[in-house]
Amino acid sequence: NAFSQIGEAQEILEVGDVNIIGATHTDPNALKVVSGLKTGGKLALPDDVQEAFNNLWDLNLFSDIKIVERKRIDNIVFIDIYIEERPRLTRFYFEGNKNSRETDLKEAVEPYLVKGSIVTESDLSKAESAIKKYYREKGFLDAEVTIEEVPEEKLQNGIQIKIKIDRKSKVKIHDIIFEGNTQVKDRKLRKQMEETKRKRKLFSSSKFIEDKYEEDKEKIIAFYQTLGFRDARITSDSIWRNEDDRLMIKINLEEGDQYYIRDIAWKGNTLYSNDQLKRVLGMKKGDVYNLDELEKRLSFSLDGNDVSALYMDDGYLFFSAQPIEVAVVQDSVDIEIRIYEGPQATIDRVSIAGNDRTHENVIRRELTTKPGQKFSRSDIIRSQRKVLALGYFNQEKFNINTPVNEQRGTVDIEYEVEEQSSDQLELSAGYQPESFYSSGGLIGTLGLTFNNFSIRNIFNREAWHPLPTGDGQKLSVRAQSNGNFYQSFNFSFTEPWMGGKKPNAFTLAAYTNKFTDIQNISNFVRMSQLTLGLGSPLKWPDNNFVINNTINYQRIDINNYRRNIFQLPNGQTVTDGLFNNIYLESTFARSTIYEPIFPTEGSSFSLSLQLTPPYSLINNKSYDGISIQDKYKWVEYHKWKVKAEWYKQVFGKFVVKASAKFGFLGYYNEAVGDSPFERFIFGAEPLSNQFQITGQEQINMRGYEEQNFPAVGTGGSSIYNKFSLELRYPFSLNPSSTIYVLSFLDGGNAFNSFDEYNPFNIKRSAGLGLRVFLPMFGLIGFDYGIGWDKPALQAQGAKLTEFGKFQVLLGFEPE
Amino acid sequence: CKSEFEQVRTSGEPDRIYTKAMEYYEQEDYSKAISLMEIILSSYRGTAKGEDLYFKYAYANYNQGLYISSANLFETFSTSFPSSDHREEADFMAAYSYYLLSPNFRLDQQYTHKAIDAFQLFVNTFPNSDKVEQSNTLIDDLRQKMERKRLGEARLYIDLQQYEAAVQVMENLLKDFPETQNAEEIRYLIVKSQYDLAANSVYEKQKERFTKTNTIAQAFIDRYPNSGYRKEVEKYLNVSTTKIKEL
Repeated sequence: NAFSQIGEAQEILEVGDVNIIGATHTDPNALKVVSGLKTGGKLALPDDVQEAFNNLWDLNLFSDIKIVERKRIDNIVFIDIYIEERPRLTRFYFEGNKNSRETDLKEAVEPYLVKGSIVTESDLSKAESAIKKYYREKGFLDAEVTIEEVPEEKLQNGIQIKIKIDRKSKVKIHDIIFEGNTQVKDRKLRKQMEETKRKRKLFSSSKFIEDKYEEDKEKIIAFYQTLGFRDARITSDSIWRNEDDRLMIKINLEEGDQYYIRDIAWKGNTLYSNDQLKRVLGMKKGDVYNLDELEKRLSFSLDGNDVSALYMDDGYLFFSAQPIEVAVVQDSVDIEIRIYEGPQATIDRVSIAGNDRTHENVIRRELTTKPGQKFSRSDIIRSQRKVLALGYFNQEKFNINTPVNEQRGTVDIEYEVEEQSSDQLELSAGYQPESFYSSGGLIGTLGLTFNNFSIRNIFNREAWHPLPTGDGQKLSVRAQSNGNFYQSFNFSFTEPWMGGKKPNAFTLAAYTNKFTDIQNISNFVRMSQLTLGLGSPLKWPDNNFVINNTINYQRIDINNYRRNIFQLPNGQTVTDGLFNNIYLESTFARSTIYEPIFPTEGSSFSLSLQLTPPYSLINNKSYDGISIQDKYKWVEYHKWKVKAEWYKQVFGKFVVKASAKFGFLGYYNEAVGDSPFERFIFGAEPLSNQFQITGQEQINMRGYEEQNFPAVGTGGSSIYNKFSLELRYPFSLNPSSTIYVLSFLDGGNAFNSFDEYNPFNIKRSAGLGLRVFLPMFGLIGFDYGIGWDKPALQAQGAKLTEFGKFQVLLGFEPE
Repeated sequence: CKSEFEQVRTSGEPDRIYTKAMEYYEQEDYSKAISLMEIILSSYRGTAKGEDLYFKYAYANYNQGLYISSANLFETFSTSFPSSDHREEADFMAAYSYYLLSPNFRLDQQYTHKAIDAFQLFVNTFPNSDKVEQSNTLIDDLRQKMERKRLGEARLYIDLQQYEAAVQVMENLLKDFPETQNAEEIRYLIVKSQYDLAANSVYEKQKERFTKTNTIAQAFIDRYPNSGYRKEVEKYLNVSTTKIKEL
């Protein structure tokens, strides 16, 4: 007698022995271990027998298992286990399919045909229907599948499965016919059927998938309901093949009456008045009765601006709103919206999971949802945006759960993140042989940026995987060489939360670069700089302000270098000398631009002041007739910069950008005069970060060149202003490739003193541009501008094309 | 010309692969042993060698440092071979694999939770095992790590001057870790944070918050009359008493 027939109550017995019957290819002792039944061991009935059965069954080696009580002496049970072995599957293969389908088919049958396990009749029929389903979804409704078992030659007790497929030809839908629709056209109804389409155009897809068809039928009814046809239904539908073996579908409808809203009443609201709620709901008396829209406006609106958002944002997480039809009279409906407001939920715990590299405090300090506070949905959205802005986590896998505890009126907030690498590596190398133009050497760049570095773990060997990570610090090193002509080394380190209490960004940066004369490598100019900076958010005038202070030491070493990089205002070139530029720079800025690549709204403003100590006012030195080297050994100046930018979406996807920039370089002492350094090169070519010349400021002016601005001719100007108006249109806002076009109107000019300065005396240009952002390459851009105020061309009757200028941008947008 | 490993691997002869796999296992070349064992696991299912093979496969993963796999394999071993002599060892090793996966307290602690659960289950299933003591020590270790994480959270909120959040986190900490060694320090930090919260509040909330400061400061002194923090707590008590009167 089988154990399953033994009584329900738990019995504790002892196992006398276990006997396995029917094992020819399997080992009886091993099966006993798997069953968990041990001679002399305890046996709890019926649980242990059930477990033994399950364990053996899980081996997937037997088509039948019976566990039987052979005899019982007192409370000692002797057990027989009968097993029926089946051959094991060694492989399965397909015939008659296309090779490209092989992987998909394998995936479809793998849950049923497991190598090394037995194959039962039911597995085979499951595999068969999985294949048929696969083909049906591709539109092959008539696919035929036959499965054969082939004995394995090499292995006793093994079989192969051969799956023959004949997919037949694709079945297309010839026509979909509607009957009974008087208020809505066939065309509109067909459009609702997103997955079930007629074959009409050459490339349109048409296939019949039963599940999708059922969904599409529901969509038709849903569509009717949005139009107020509250009672619309499909009375019957039929599907048949026409003479060409194509599918025909006929759907019979009963539309019923169109209903209108006669009254909307609110019940249970204490926090908001009926009028306030009505305004958010946006539906009124006399509107077509659209239940779907009503529910959306109550709870599921895509723009997040619905009645429940009104409550949820404020922490009323237990809120619910139930629309009830209280009266239906002819074609009018009275609706009562029953509101349960519930208590305001308090946040109990805020937890973070999935951070296996980034330290928890780096994430937690960004969160605006804090334990003890009232729940607010907008806080959650803000937190999400701030955490994702760190760039350490996968945007798609970011998840927020808010389990509520109704008894205590609390809610937990669980943030789930998935780490992704945010480090960047830049590497290029080549060798240039010696030639007339170059003394030869290694050409290349090696750059490494670690965006989630941890400096305190630098001596902790366990944290190196492959580098110490997790504290949200940024470390970047870069070396660049173009043979002997140019060499540069850069280093920078940023701790965004210096001290861990406030987002005070501390920066330490240093670089050195050297330009050498191609023909004579002992002639060079070398610039080195060390910068210490601290940026702090400000609470005043508002939370969007920041102040950034840096202290800098720059050293410029020029050794018989005759290219006109640095010039005095009188045109004299600085060819020799050692110059020290020590300055403080303070930038006071406000920004409300949150989309870095393609802003659609917001503005930014910054004012910066750069100062050196006024040496000449203190040192009582006579500057009359002394050498350049002596005069500017300790460079002195004050420099002011103002920038403003403004973005606004105007119509459709078009965005307007307006910007204005102003710069002024002044001196403390007329005897010293303008410095040859820090000047504005207005109209400079847009550079990529190749061969960046520091110690001066380059401002690009579309449509123009440096030579077009007389004030720049002598080693740069002391004043400039630039105004720009752009109209932008995005083709793709996909983060993996953002592309937009723009048309621009620029105006600007450079001056050498305030006497000459006139903001209305500007040179103008207009043109078109394209910008492409690719995650691996950064920015690539092109601009074509026509500068019609070019002085040289004004005089002659020049052609329009001679005013034009084409330029390429790499890496970043120039100033 | 194929290496011997490659020849055996592609031979399709389970017995040959088995012998070689065991050889690699004995030589502690676990990476090769794992590759070979994977191939033959299913063919040895239900045979005399099957159990031993599975157990060694789990150990090979463990010795190779693949603790996620070894934790899973030891767990599966226990359910697949419930009456095996190795079951006790397997259950312990599953828990121990999770223990080794548990990272620094600043990171995600899912493996810490798994390790605690697994050791707890082990201790309950094999109360007489000689590994019970070690398991209990390791559980304490892991719980201390969880506690440290929570305290770190509270300290961050104190640093950010989010005192209400800090108080809430520490109150939950005391609830979740009643065995904590740091109860006195935590209770002191709660008093201090509650005081700072009250002192930095808008006028309308000050009275309520100073009253709470007063209550918990008094409770602290009653509970720890000889505490090293007593002086400071008394200061908070006095200030809050005055403030309540003023308000």
